[in-house]
Amino acid sequence: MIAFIIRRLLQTVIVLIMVSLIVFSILQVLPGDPARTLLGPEASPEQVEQIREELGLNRSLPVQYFTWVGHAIQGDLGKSIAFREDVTGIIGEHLPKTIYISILSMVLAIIIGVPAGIIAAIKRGGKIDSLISVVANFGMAVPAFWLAVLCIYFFSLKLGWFPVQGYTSPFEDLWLSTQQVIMPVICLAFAALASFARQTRSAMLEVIMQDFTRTARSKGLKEGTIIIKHTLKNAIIPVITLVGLQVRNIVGSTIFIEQVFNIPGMGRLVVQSIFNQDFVVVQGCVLVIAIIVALTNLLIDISYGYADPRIRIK
Amino acid sequence: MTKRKSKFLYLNAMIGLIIAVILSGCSVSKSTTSDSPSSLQNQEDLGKPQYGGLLKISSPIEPANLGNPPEQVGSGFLHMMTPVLETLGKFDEKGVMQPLLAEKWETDPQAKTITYYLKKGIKFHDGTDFNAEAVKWNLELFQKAKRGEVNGINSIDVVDESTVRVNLEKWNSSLNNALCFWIQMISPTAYEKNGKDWAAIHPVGTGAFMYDNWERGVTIKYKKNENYWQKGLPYLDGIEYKIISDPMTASAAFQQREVDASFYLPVDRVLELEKNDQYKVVTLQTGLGNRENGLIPNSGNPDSPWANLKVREALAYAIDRKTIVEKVLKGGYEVTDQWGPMTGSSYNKDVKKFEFNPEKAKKLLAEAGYPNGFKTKLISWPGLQHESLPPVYQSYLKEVGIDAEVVPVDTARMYDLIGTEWDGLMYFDVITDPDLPLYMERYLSKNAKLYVNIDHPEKVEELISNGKAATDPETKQQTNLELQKAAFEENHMFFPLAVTTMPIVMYPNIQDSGFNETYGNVYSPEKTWLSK
Repeated sequence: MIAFIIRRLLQTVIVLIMVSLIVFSILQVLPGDPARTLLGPEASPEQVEQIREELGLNRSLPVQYFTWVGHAIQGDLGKSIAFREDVTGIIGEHLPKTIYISILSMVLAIIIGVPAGIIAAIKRGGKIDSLISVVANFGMAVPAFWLAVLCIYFFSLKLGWFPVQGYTSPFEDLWLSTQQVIMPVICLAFAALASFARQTRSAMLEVIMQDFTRTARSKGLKEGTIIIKHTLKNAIIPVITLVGLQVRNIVGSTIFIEQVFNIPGMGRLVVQSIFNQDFVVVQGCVLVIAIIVALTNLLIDISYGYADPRIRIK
Repeated sequence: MTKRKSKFLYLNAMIGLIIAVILSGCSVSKSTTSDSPSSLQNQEDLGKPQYGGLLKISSPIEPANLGNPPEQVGSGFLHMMTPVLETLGKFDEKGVMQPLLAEKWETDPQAKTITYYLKKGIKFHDGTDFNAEAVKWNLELFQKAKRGEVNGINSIDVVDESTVRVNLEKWNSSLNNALCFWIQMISPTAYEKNGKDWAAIHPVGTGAFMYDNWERGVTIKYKKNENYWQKGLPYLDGIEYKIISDPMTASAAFQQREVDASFYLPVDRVLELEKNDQYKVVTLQTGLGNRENGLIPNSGNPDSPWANLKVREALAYAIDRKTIVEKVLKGGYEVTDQWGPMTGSSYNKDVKKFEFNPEKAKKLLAEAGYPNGFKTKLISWPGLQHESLPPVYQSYLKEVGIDAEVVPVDTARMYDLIGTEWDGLMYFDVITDPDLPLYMERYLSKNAKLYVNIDHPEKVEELISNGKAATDPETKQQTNLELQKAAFEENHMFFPLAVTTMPIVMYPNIQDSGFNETYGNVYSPEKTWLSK
C-alpha cells in the first residue's frame, strides 16, 4: 500500500508540473501587458518599465517560470500584480470559503444522491424510480449558474427566504452564514446529487441481479440487511470513483456559483484576476486547485482498498 | 448500541441537520437582511438630520489602490475615496470650486502664483497635522508620479504653518481647479513610515470616515471619524461598500435591501428598477465628470483617409446619434455633438449641427476623392459596457460606402494605442468637464500623452493656450465656446456620440448624500443621513 501511495504521489507531482507549465504558458501568450493595464494610458514608457522591473516581467520566460516554481515550492506564490500583496495570503483568504461550500455540497449530494439511487433501484420501474430518474436527468442537464439565477429570483426576490448574496464565516455568525450558503450549496450539489443517484441506481441494479443477493434472500435475510450489508457494499466502488470526479466538477462550478452569489472564494478570485490580467494570482489559484483535485483523487484511490480488499491485494 | 443502529442514527442525524438548515433558512424575512433604520435616533422629526446607521453601497468594481492618489487611474473610484480622503476644494452644484480643506485661495495671474490659506486645527486620522508642509508634500508626491494635474508648477513654498504658495511656470487658469479637485490629501507620516504599497490599501486622510477594513472583492468598510474637523458631522456610523460584480446579483441585492444604493448598474437594470416607485434614480445633470464616448479618427496620419477634413465631416453626417442613443444605448445616456453634455455650461449652441444625412456624407466623400468609399478599421474595446456599438457604427459606415473592419483589443493594447498610434477609427471614451482647456489639453492637444495620433489644428492649440492664460471667467468661457466651434465644426477632431448620466439607484431614505449633484462619482458622505 505504501509503495502504491508513493507511486501515486510521484504521478501527482508530474501532473502538477505539467499543470504549472501549461497555465504559465497560456497566461504568457494572452494579449496585454499587465503593467500597462495597471498604470493606465497616461503612464510613460519609463513608468511602465519600472513596474515591469519591480514585478520581474522583463526577465526571460524560463527565468520567470523557474523563479516562480522555486518560490512556489517554498510556499511563496509571488506578489499580485494588481494588489501588490502576497498571492499565498490572498489565496489563504479565499480558499477556506470555497472548501467550505464545496464540502457542504459534496455531503449534501452524497446523503441525498446515494439513498435516492438505492431507492430507485429497489423500486425499479415504479413511480418513485421514474420520479428520481427525471429529477436526476434534470439535475445533470441544468447548468449550475442558471439554477443559481432561478434560485435568486424565486427564493430571494419572490419569497424573501434567503439573502441574495454574500458570505459570512460560520465562526463569525453561524445563523447568517447558514442563510447565505443554502442556495449556493444546493446549486453546487444538484448536478453531483443527480450523478450519484444515477450511478448508485445503476450499480445497485447490477449487484441486485448477482447470485449472492439471491442467496441472501433465500436464506431469509431481511431486505434492509441485504441492501445495506451485501448489495450496497458491492455497488459502492463506482460511486467512490464518482466522488473523485464530482470534486473536480464542484470546484469547477464554484467559478460560476461564487460569481452569482458573490462569494469571495477561489472561483471569484480567478475570474477577477483574469479581468485584472493578474496572471500571478491566476497561476497560484490554478496550482492550488490542481493540488486539491490531485490529492482528492489520491485519497479516493486509497479508499478503494478499504471498500474492496481485493483491490488492495492486487 | 449495535454498529447497524449507530449507522442508522448517524444517517438520520445528517438528514435532520440538512432539513433543519433548509427550514431555518425558510424563516428568514426580508427585514433581517437589511439594515433597519430603527437604530436611528430621533425618528420623529424626519426633516432634521438624524445620527446613526450604516450606509451600504454596491459597486461592481473595486480599485487596486485606495490610499495612494497619485497612482489612482481615472475617476471611477472617487466615490470610494471621498469618505476618507479630502481635497483643498470641492465643486458646488454650479460647477464653481468652493474651499474645503482650504479656507480660501488667492490667484495672481501676473505673479503666476496660487496661494492657499488652509483651515487650522485639522488633523489626519493618524494624528498628523494637516498644514502647509503636508500640502506641499502631497503636491510633490503627484509631481514625482508625473501626473498631469501638477504640470506647469515651478515650485511650492511653505509661507507659514497654514499658507502654501504654488509658483507656476506660466499662468494657467485651469490649474487651481485641478489642484483643488484631484489632489486628495493623505498623511505624509503614514506614507513615509509604511511605504506606498501599505498606503495604497490603508487610506489615511482627513475625511469624515476612517478606514476600517478592506476584504478584497467583498467589502470596504469605513467607520465614523469621531474627531472630524466639521463639528457635528458626520451623521452616519459608517459606510460599507459591497463589491458585487454580477449585475443581476447587484440588482437583486438592491431590491432585497441588502444595499441602500447601487453604483454602475447596467442601464437595462436601472430602467427596470426605475419603474418601481420605491426606488429613486439620480442622474448626473451638472455636466461635471460625465464620460463621453464616440469615435476618434487617426487624422494625424497623412496617409489616412481620415486626415481629410471632408471625410471627417462625412462621418459626422453618416451616423444617426439620436437613434443609437434611443435604440442601442436605451437610456442612461444623452446625445451630444460637442465636448460634454448639451446641458453643460460650455456647450456652444451656435455650433453648426450635423444631423444624420447619409446622402450628404456620400457627397462629401466623393468631394474628398472617395466616391466609392474606402476600407478602414474600427478599433473597439471589449471591456466597455456598450459592446453592441461597434457593429452599429459599422452598419452606418457601410451605408455611405466606408467598409469598417471591427478590431477588438484588450485593455492594455488599447492603452498602448491611445499613447502611440492606431489605424482608422478608434473607440473614444473620456471624462468631459466644462473646463475645456484643462481637459482638451489632456486628450486632444499636442502636449497630450493620449490620442497622439490625431491632427492638432493650430487654432485649437492656440485657443487651449488662451484659455489657460485667461485671467477672468468671462474670457475663459468665451474661449470654451470658441474651442467647441474649432474642434467640432471646423476640424471634426472626433465624433461625439453620447455622455453617460451615470445613474445611481438608491432608496429614498438616503438624505443629503449629494449623489450626482455636483461632480459625477463624488458625493458628501459627511452630510449624508438616513431617515426612517
